[in-house]
Amino acid sequence: MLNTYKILFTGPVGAGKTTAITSLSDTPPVLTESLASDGTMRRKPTTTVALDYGVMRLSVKDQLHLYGTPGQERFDFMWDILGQGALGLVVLVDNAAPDPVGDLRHFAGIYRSFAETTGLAVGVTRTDLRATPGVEAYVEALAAMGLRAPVFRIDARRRHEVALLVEALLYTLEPDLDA
Amino acid sequence: MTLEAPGGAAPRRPTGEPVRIAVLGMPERAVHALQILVERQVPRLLELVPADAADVTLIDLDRYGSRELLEEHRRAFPHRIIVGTSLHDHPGDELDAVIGKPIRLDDLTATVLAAARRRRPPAAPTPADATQPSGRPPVEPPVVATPTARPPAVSPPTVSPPVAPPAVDRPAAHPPTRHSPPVGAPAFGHRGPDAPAITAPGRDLPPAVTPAVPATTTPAADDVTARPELVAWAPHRNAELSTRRAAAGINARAAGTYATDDDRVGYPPGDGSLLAVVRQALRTAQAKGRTTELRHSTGTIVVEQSGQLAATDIDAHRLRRLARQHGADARWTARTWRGPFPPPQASHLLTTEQLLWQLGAWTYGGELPPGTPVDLPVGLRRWPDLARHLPIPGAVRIAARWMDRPTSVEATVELLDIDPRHVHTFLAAAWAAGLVTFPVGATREGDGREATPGRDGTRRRLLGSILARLRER
Repeated sequence: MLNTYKILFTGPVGAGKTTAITSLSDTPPVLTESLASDGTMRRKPTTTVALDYGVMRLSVKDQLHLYGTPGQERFDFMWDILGQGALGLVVLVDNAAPDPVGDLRHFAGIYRSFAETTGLAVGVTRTDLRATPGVEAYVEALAAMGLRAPVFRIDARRRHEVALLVEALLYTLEPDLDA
Repeated sequence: MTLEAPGGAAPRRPTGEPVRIAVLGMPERAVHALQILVERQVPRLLELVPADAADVTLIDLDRYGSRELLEEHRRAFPHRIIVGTSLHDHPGDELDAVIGKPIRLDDLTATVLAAARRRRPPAAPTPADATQPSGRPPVEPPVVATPTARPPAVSPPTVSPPVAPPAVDRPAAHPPTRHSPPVGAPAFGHRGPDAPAITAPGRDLPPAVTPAVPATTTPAADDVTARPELVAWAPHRNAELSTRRAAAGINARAAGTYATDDDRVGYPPGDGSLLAVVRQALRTAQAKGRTTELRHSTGTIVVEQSGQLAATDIDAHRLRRLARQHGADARWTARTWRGPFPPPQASHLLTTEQLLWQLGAWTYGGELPPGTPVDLPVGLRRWPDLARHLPIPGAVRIAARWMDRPTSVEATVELLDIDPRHVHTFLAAAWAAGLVTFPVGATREGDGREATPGRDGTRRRLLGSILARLRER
């Protein structure tokens, strides 16, 4: 019997969720991209409308599923479904967005109870386009919500950076892993 | 740095400076690999330099034309110490020593130090020398751990004296040897005059172990003892603080106001390193609300007024070299200005955390910052931005551990089974970046706490499998 586990990627539109999953997935991920028709189209031509799905094979009977949620709020109903039973949550935030710290508060707020009971890691993307706010601002926003999590600036296109973020997430779940 | 003129006298280098090595007849790739190894592992002992600036030349004897190369080099530098490397037994009649291939860094270090030491003129007997049988090289006396109010973090017998590279002087006829160091590699610890000690905030603790070693002692590479598990006390060669501030050219009033604020991380203000200069510039920028520029003959480092960002036109290689030079602050000048950031000439934009992290890692080169209490639990204010920082092996594990529960350096090494140098480097880097805390109330007893009960093996195995996949390239 195949055991499946999952890690959830969430965050606002254009933060790099689809790209991050593509970076990690063993197979070309299943994408539910569609031509953007709302405000999203100013930022990118297509957007995720259902979910993105990638898979990492861990062994013959274990698989890790990587789910990316759609960024638009009208797909809120998806988030609860996807979050059920996930090992941990990766929130990606676009640093070049108008209010990236607010975006983090928003998404961390939605998943707060989930993050408190499992694990949370935050990836800040597009820092090459805008260097501020810095990591400290995100950490403080999380602290104000009573959350502690690794916050890394990453490029979602670089597998090793996304992998390092997920690795940090796993170590927040089990700090003595590997010991 | 003194340069040796071709054919001229070899430089007399102060004890404590690394021995400068030139590499001859090796492929560029091998030289590059050796350079990285030397800079990471033994930066205080060896330094790779061009041929005309070297104390010792390392030559590959197996390469085609090596004989001619050696003769040519001998003519150019008749008094140069020359160490050969070879796969075969080599007579080495023109060489000071020969190292067998494959070369191990500890072999290389010990051989070079021994060869350099043998060229030293006989020194006046020191108390250390007097303890040795005649005809043997001087042996450094054992470190004496001074009892303090607290039990020592590292039990005295495990602490061996750090090795300082010997001064190089005129040659004396010496038969070539195939050197094989007796035990291990030279220690990472490095001594110097006392530095201002770092102590945990709110606590006034003496260093755990204070080596009482005569300043004149010169260790013998032949007698290198086993590497200590931890260097409990690694003071730096510091000058007087106010002199350094003035030399750094930073506004004296600003320095007086802000250089003494030691913050939560307890970083020692001004220890003569570039790191201290940058920390000072950061404080100045934040206090004055102005961009602060540090200028050096090789380039500039600019800290943005908020203190979040920095820019430089100095490449990483040069920056690393500058970070390793103590007393470097005398060669930096500072000014503040209001203007656009980053400046047009800056080719590298990075966060100040990134800059301080890498300077911390480079400055201490596998050692602990001066006065680090190795037995106090260490915590982190937050996770370092590891995806963009200079990578340190095991960094994620160390960060996770210190975020989860403060753990002493000793216990971290033991529990995570990570090379002490990596833990030291992580601590030095995180310390420099202002991320380290010594939580008051955290006790050493907490170090050995078992993993949270209820976390079953199945999940650990699962997470371990995911980790393995993530680490695949």
